[in-house]
Amino acid sequence: MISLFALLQLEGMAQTARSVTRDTVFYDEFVGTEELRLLSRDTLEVKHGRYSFISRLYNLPLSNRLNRLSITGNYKEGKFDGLWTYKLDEYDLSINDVVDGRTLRLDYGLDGIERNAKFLYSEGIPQGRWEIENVVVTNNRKQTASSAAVFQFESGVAVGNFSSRGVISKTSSSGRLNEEGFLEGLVTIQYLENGIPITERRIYENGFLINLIKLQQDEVILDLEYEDVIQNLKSLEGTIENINYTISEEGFGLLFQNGYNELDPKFISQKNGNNALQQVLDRIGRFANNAEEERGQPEFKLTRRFKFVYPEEEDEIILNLEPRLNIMLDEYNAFLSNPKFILNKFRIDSLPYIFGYIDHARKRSQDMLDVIELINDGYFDFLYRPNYYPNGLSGLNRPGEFSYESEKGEETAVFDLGTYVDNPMAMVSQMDEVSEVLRERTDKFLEYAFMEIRIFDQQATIDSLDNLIVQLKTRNDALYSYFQTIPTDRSFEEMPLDYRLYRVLSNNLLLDLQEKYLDAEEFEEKVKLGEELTCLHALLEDKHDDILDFQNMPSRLDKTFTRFSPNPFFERDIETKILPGIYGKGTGVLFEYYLENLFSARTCEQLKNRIQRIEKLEERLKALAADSDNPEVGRLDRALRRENIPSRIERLLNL
Amino acid sequence: MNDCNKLKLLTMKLNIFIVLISLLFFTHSFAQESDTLDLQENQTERKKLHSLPYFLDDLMLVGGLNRSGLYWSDQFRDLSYGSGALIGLEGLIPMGKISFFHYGMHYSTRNFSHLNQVTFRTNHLDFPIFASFSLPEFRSIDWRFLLGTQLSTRVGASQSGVYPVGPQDQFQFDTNDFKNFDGGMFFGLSAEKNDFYFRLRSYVGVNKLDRKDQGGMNAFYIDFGYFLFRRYRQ
Repeated sequence: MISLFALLQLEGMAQTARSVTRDTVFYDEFVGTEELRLLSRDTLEVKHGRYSFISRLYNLPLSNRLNRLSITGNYKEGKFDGLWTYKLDEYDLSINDVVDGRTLRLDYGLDGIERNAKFLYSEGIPQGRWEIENVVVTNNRKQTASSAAVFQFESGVAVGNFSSRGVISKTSSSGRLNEEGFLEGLVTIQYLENGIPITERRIYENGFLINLIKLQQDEVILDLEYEDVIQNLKSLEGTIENINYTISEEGFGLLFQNGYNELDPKFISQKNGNNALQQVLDRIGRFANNAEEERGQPEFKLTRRFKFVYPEEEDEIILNLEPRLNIMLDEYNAFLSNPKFILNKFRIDSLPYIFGYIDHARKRSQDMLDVIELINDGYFDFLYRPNYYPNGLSGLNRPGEFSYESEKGEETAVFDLGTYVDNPMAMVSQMDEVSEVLRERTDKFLEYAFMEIRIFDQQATIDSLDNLIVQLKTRNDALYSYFQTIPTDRSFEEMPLDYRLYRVLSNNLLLDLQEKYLDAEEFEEKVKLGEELTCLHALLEDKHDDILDFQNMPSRLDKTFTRFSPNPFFERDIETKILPGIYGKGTGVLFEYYLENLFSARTCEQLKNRIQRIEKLEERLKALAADSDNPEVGRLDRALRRENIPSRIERLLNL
Repeated sequence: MNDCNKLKLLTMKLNIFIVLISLLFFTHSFAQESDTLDLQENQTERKKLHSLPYFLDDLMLVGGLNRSGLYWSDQFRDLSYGSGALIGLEGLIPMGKISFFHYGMHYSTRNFSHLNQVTFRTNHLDFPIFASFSLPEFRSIDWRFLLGTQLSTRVGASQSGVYPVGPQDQFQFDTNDFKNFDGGMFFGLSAEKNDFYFRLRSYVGVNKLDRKDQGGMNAFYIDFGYFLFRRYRQ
């Protein structure tokens, strides 16, 4: 009855699962055919049952290399389950000859490696024995000497004894991982160092490396005790020099770190042994690190670290220190990239020195910010910071030097703040102190530099104003014939308007302004006077032709205010003056008043307005002349006849 | 006494009449102004005003304050000045190169106190006629010296406060004895900018105020003027 039920069950499964054979690619490299069974689950199909893949004999173009990957395994509900075997053949093919005969044969040679891996899974999780083996093939023959490694897995984590050996690379390793997956007790690693066989014996305690001995032909060449780790492990309080610590739960791989910097022997001496072990892990990873949805990745915890909790006071200090350093850095960068300083670097004494000092301060501030960034990123959570900075912060832990470019060449100067970041246990507070001193020092330099450049700038502005004034004055003197003497048969009033105006303005305004400009000591006042002077000269230069034309305005307008009508008695037309009131007052009283005002102008703005006023008067008179037939204009003309006060004429003319 | 009250009443009525006349005149001016506010008629109105005779450009509304009193009076020890005001219309006509002829009509009050207890208020209709002469300085504000005459007719007077009972020979001013006409001269300085006018002047009357006393009226004026029609001439 039971057999019948089982048979029915199997038949049912057989009905739902279907076999598939299809082409696929593994590792982006191996093209081949896979055979698998797919089981319907609701709307999806999951892999279930046996699986196999075999790639084509892969031959790279123009190469003698032959590769082939074959995989067999088993799926359970879409997950890896049971034994999975991987076989990768990597051969170099050499063809020696074609042997003649009834059947032609090739004389060939295959050399290479046959890589095998056997992994056990339980519902997608590494579980049980994992083996890898490399068999060397030389001249078509598999060599007995080969490489192999064995690990045990429990719920995805490597535990228990492990071992590896590599005949060609002459490496081997053996050791034990405790139940949590951390190295425990003696771990022996053998490898070649510069061609010399080295045996390394490491003692681990629950993932913490506490001793490392290197032997060369049974002779101890290094016996390194990780006393900091031993001390930490022995300490019951969980505190080192005010820094609290706990033991991490997570694993950190092969490299054991307790804040050792890259020059620390405790760091360096692990390197070769770790490399030998890493090769083995890489060989496993080559086959195990893919198809992440279908299987868990093997976890090698191996080493632990201390988790450090640094004093809370440091956080408060960093809260102020970080923005302060950022501001300092911005100030330094702004100074160093300021084109004024760059351009005038060698024109002001001591600026090259300040440049060098600020640049050095910028680098040192950046160093401090880097430390803060590492702290903020939690870099030292598992690294003992005092180990990382055993002598404090390099560059700030003792009096130093900085170099700067001077006109003579590169020079060096002392950089000594009087306070240093030299205590690894109090780095943050020392950085705080040093940054304050550095800021005070650089603030003084920056203030001095800005003052110098301001003075330099001011002088440059004044020089430029001087040049401009001289240029404009020289041009105007020539333009307005300033040095021309009045001919004996003419009076000053008979001289051209431009000559008179420039003379009067020079005597009453320009020379006076020039004197004040030369005497002014305050920069702002001097610039203001200089700008006024240049404005006046520029205006006079620009308006010279217009001013010259002003004196001809009455005669010019006389034609506009003249009408010609046919003469019945003579050939010559009768000339009639129109709008005598408008013309007479506009070109008489008002024009003269405007000219007087021109002479009495006291500022550039006044002169400009007064010149414009004369121009406007001419335009207005022309417009009225053109509209002379308008009775309103006639009434205006009559009204203007009795007016003699300039302001009243101006008002009536709507100016 | 009844006669006195009747006269007072008459004076008050005349005052009110004059004020009404003045108000009517100004209201008419302002009515024209407010008409121009109507956007649709604005252009037409402006045109109409634009073609106003040019003499209206120099017609202004005048208002002012004064300090006035009696001079040459036998009672000069007991007299003190009082504050008054004026409102009126004035015009000017350019004459020659630097001179102007001014004419106008003011309604003004000129006051004074006697014995610091009795205040007399006299209301006049003044007709100033004077000439002004442009000065060579401050030409941009038409700085002018003015000199002229003013004819006045008293249209009322009032007394506030009573004389204390005292010695019989204490002189007492009486509004019933105030003369109805006055004439005098004034001089001063004026300035003008755009639509506005400002003037300081001193006035001296030549007629006695009270028939029983020698004293005539004098006053110091600060006047402000606004040319009503200039702004339409744009």
